Formats: sequence, structure tokens, C-alpha cells
Amino acid sequence: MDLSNEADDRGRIPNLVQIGAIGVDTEMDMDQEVLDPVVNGQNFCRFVLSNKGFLHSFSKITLGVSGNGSGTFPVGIGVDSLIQRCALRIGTTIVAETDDWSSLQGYKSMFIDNDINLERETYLTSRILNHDFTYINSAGAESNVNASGLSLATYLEPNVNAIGSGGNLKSQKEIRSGNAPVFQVSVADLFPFLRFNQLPLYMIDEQISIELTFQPASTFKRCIHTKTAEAQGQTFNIDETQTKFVASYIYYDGEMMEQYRSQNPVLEWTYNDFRLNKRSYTSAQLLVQQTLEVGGAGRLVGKVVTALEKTSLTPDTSMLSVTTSEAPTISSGNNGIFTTNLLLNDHRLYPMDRVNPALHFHDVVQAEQNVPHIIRDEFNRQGVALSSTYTYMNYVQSSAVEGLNGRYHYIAYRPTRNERINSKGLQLELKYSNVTAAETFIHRSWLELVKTARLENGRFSSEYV
Amino acid sequence: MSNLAGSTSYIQLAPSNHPSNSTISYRDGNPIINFILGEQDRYLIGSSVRIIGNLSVYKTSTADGFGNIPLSTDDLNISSKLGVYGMLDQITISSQKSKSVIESVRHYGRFLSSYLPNVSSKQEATGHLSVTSGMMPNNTLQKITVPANVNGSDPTARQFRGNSFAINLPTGFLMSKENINLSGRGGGTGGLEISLSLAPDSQFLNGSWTNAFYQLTDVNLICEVINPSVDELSRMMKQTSGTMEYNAISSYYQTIASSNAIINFRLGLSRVLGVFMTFIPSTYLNNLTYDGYQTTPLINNLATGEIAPIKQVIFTRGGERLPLQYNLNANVRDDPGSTIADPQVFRNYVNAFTSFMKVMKTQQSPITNNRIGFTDQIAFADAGSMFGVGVAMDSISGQGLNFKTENFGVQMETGLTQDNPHSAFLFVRSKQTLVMNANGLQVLT
Repeated sequence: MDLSNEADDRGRIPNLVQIGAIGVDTEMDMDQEVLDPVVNGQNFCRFVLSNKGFLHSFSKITLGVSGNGSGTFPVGIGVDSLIQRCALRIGTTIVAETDDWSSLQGYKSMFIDNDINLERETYLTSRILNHDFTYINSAGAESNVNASGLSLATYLEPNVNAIGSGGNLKSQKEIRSGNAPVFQVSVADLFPFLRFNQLPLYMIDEQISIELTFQPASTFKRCIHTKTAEAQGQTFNIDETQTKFVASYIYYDGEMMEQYRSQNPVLEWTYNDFRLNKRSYTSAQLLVQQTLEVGGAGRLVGKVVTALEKTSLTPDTSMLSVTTSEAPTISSGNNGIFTTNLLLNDHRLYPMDRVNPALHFHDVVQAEQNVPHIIRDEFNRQGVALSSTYTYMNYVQSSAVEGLNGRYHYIAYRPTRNERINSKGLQLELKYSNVTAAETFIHRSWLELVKTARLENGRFSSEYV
Repeated sequence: MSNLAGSTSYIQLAPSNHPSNSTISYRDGNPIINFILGEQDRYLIGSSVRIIGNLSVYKTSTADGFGNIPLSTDDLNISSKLGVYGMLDQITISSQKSKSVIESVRHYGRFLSSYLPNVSSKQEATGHLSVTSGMMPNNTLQKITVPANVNGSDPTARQFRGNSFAINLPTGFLMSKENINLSGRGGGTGGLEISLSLAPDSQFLNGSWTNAFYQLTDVNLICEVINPSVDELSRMMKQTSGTMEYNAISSYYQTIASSNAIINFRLGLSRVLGVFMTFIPSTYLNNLTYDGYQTTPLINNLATGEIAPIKQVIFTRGGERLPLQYNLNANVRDDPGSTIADPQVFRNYVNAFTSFMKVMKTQQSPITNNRIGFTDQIAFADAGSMFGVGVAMDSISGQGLNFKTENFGVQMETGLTQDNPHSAFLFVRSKQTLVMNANGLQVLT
């Protein structure tokens, strides 16, 4: 008799680590505690988690700044602008660590639906990117149907001029630093693998800690101020009394948890982690083809996300701060182009270099299997849809310097060969036909690398696959 | 096709009928673009197919073969429901090896003008669809962002002309969840030939510039193919026959010009899932003055915009009421002054595309689907009127109803009392099976 198809489910405990593998009728308890950081400062904080239950993947870290006036967190990423680096450590092992995390969030925040930004993220994270039409007819006055542009839409109405041809939208009171709002960051945002796995804290005998390194206040990357009405260079200090970890722990039936522990003396799972590669370029360098070694040698790389940030000494004078990726500029009315390819294992990812701006966007969609919720001007400066007459916090929304124009030109690559990258690593080819002259840029590449985690007898280890 | 663990490759194809000057336009006698995806032992991911290129709109031509870009104040526009998609008039997908036609959708732009706004939200249309297709669900802003886009107008540092696009081709065959075997050994289609017929300038554009035209440059097809693993390749090479199931779109055309509009077709399809139709005054079609992709209610008087209400709809099969066993009596039948859409007509129309309960994003709203008279699409705040009539034939089993031997009919009591013929575009969504073997292909409808 062949019993190979007969699963022995007697006494079988579902995979409690994997989200989605647990039956809907499994009894579950939740416990919450608000943890103060063991190290708490203006530039760094560390939380130590209790070794109990399973860590709920959407446990939150609350953050806030103390400031004055109507300054807010940047429009695109909200409170994420505070975090320069995040790390999850178990014992001496770094489970996940992302550098320039706030810059990466500039990319990831694109994928949040505008409606969600408007209705939820505004209050949770201070992300407010949401577009709506501004109705101005050809005579320059308000219209019922003729939209002349797209502009940021919150629940506030702009102060409109006498004929309705322009106006200014102020920041919402709920998100102004002067009102000391507190926002939150999900641990699953900090460490994306937690979206799929929940850490069995009770099975870990080592110290589990989350470390956040904050953007220094002196970089002015934390918040933006209202243009003209408020001075540039304000200091937004982190309100240390609000830095807390709202930890949610999940418990199942005690017997089941013990059985799970005894059935799984060794737990292994794979997950993705980002590794940053960063370098600076001048405008002149970007106009000739650059071949960048971005690493990944000997690794399995799921995707590569790139951003080109134009450096600024005054990032607080721009709606998006510096969490941007600059598109080729417009010259004499002509859009510039960005030419790119990815070299891996002596092959080119694309048969012909990618040039078409809409195709770049499509490649981002394919890499993420999700669509960015941004408009054409924001990605590639085509179309002149952003309003030049309706401002937000006095910033001109159609501006490429302080607004949204061409500042979401993130590019993503998805290697398709299912191969380990050879010792040469990945090489990125890129060239811009036009960029803003006489500027310095920071080019970032985040490689999504596959790692394995191993939990054996309470000891945790991880390594790259 | 369970083992598709192999890697994938990107492919980029130039049109096989590429003109020597690399520009393609209906006006210059290149109304058809062909792409040949050769037979190969690989699988095509149908949903990855994109047509990429750049589209320019010109109000007048210039001696160098290009033209003058309209100003944002000029009266020249494209459909705000479609963006670049409006350039497509027909798509035909056939086997490269046997030349057998697998799917052909006529009036493709008309199909998309009803399908796309029904399944995408206004936010999506202003967002990612604007990047990939230049779509903008507002008449004025559409004009500013695409036809009046000055990119390429100055020869200094010109990189490309017009508006870049990368559009997918929503057809039943390409959107099938099954990967498409391109092998020519019997188990696959033997490569694919994708033929796109471009819409005339007078259909794609609307405005008062009588010599306006559009032009395409750098047109390519990109797609992703799966390289089978060794085991899979071995199986693929031995496979001498295969089948593939997909939901195809078939299109039909009829004109109506009476208060008792009757539409009757022998569909010849055995597994019909849904039927929907859209209307437009016939004089608006292929007429540069009007947007030929409007999906309007019936209109009695074009000058005043007087709506001719649809008071009752009956769907039939072989003379019997089916799938609805009752008459759809619209609210306007009892209340002629009502300006709101009839909920039953509306729901059944949306339900014909995809299950109404699963429609999470749509541009259908009281603004875009109502009975308020209008004389021009520029009177709309959003992408235009999104009126239609339709019905789902089978929302339960997914196998559809058999219309192989019996006629499909729609009987509508309308208020169309004036001599103003309307074109009705009927689209049928049905399940089809592609049978492939060494002798060629056969489509079982």
C-alpha cells in the first residue's frame, strides 16, 4: 500500500512563523506593551524586545518632533524622513539592516494608493501625496469641468485668489510640527521580511533589539518649513518622550506553542534584505555613460532599485526634501532621456538599452508587480499637468526644484535569469542626456538580496544565500 | 505547464513592416503595424506584451515630414478615456507558422473606451495610466498634456518627439493566465504574429484642425518569455498537441434609429460569458470634429443634447428572455424627468465586464453615467459619458451560455424619435479553446 500521499496530520502544528499558514479557527491571544527605548537620543535609539510570544509584524514605533510653526514632515515619506538607518539584531547577528532607509522609503511610498495617503497615512505617518484636478478654464478662472492642472489635495481647501486662477494650500493642522503630532512607523516597513514572517520571540534565547539611527537635525532633512513665511534652517528636535515601541505579541494555545518549539528544534526560512551601494556624481559625469559596480557578487539578487538624488544644503525648502530621484531635465522644451541597462553574469538584462521613459516606468511596475501612484510629470517631466498656480505651503508644485516635477524617477531592475551573480557582481550602465548643470548627485542602488535565517536551540544566525 | 521554473528573458521586436523613415502614421499610408514573434521552444507571458514608442500630434504638417505641435489653446484633442490607446482600431493575433487567426478584435478602440474606464479608477487614470498611455481623465487637461506636449519641437538637443508610451494589449488571448507555448512542434502556436491596425486621424483626434494628424516613432514590441527548464524543454519538444483556454472578445456593429431598437446577431459562440454595447451618434464616428470614442446615451437632438432615454431592455436567446427572465424597466419609464442612471441598467452593464461585486476601481460615477443632456464631451468634468447596456450571461459556473445555434437579441424601448441614427458597438466576452497540433491551429468557439 502506498501511503506517501497520506499526510500525517495528527498532532501537526501549523507553521506559526509564516503569516497565512495558520488556520482561521486557531485560538490566538494578543498582548501589547509600550516599550521605552533603552538608549534614547537625538541621533540614535535602541529598543529591546521581550522574549515572549510571536512579534506582530505591524507593531509600531512612535516618533515625533518638537518644533514651531507650520513645518511638516516631507510630503512623500512623512515621518520616515527621521530614520537614516534601521537594524534588527538578535544577539550578535544583524538580521536586517538598511542604510539610507528614508531614501528607500521615497521609492516604496510611491506604491501607496493616493486614497490611502489621504484617508489613513496622513494621520499615521504624515504621508500626504494625493492628486486632484484644479479646475481653471482657458480664461484663467474657476470652471466646473475644465481642469488645467493637477495639484496636491488634502482635506483642506486652498486659499484661492479672487478669480480662482490660483491659490495656496496650507499644511493640515494635524501634521504641523508646531502641534507636536506623533506618528508611527511599522516594523514591517523597517524590515520588510516581517510582512511574511512573524518572529517567534519565545523561542529565541538571545537579546532582540531594534536600532534606529536618526537623520541629524543639522542636515535639515527631517522636516520642511512653509516657504517665505518661515525661515530656512530651523531645528526640528526629536521629542524623545514620544519615542516608544508599541509591541504586539501574539500567543497561541500554550501546549501548541510548546509543541511547535519541540517539533522545530531547528527553524529555517529565507527572506530578503536590502544592501545599499552609494556614490556621488557631478552633472558632467552623468552626461557620459557610467558603468557602476553595484555589488551582489556571489549572491542571489531579486531586484535592484536605484535613485538619483540631487544634493542640497537646504532640503527643508522643498516639498519632498531630498527623498527624490531626479529625471532628465527639459532643454528648449525637449525632454531629456535616460539610457540604462544592467549587466549580470556577462549578459545584459535587456536586449537593447532601455531609453523610452514610459518603458522605464513599466520596468518599475514589473519589478514590483505593483503600480506606482504618481503622475507623468512626476516620473519623467512629460505633460505639464502639475499646477503652476496652485501652491502647497507656498511651494510651486510644478517646480523641479521645490515641487514634484520629475522627482520620482526611480528605476528598478528585475534580474530574470534565476542565477547566482558571479564574482564580477552587477554592473549598472546609465547615461543622462540632460541633468541640472553644475550640481552634485548621489546615486543609490539598493540590492534586494536573499538571506537565510536559522534558529537552533534558541540561537539565531543568518547568512546570505 | 506546471514546471516553469526556468528563467525568463526580455525580448524587444521592431515592426516587421517598418517604413524606411522609421515613422508610422495612418496619414502617410502605414495604417498597419506587424510584429512577428518567431516560433521557439519558449513560453510567452501574454500579459507582459507592451507596445512602446512615442506619439506626436500635429495640427499641420511641415516639409520635413513631421508637423507643428498644437498650442494648449488650440482646439485639438484625443480621447481622455483612452490616451494613446485610441490609436488602435483593430488587433489580430495569428500563428506565425500556420497563419491561422487566434483572436481578432475589431473596433478595438471602441472596446477599450468602454472597458478601460470601467475597470480603472480616476486616480489610476491620472496616475500610472498617464505615464504609460498619456491618459488623463479630463478633457482640457488631456489636451494640455498630450497633443500640446512640446517635446521634440525644438531641433536643439531633441532626444525624441512627442509622448512616450508603453501600453499593454488587453485581449482575451494575451490576458489569459496561461503562458503561451510558442513552439512550432505541434504543442504550441508556432510563434505569433500581432497585427495592429491604426485608427484614422479623424477617429483618434478631435478638434477643428482639418489637416491634423498623429505620428508614431520608435515603435517596438517588448515582452517576456520563459526559458523552460531542461525537463520542461524535453517535454515541450515531444509535445505534438496542446490546448489553451481563454476569454476572447468578439465585436459586432449595428445601427439603431427607432424607438423600438432591435439588435439581433448569430454569435456562433457556445460559451458566452457577457455581452455589452455602447452607443454613439453615427455622425460622430470618424469625424474630426467630434470624439469618436464617446460612449454616449442615445441622443435625440445633437444641437440641444436632448437625451433619448432607454426605457426598457430585454435580452433574448432564440426569442426567449435570457439570461434575465424579466424586462429591465428603467426608472425613466415612470419618471421621464429623471436624470440619474437607472441602477439596474447600470449594474448589469458593469457586471458584463467583471463581477459587479469585484469591481473595486472604476470611473463610473453619477457624473459620468447619468441622463443630463450635453452637446459636446468638453462639458464633462471627468473623462466623458460612460453609458452602456450589457448583461453577464453566467456569473456562477464561468462556463457561459450557448449561443452557437440560437440568436442573441436585445430589444430596447427608447425615446429615439428623431432621425438621428446611432451606432451600437456590441462586444461579446466568451470562452474559447485553442487547439494546437501538427496540422495547425483551430479555435473552438
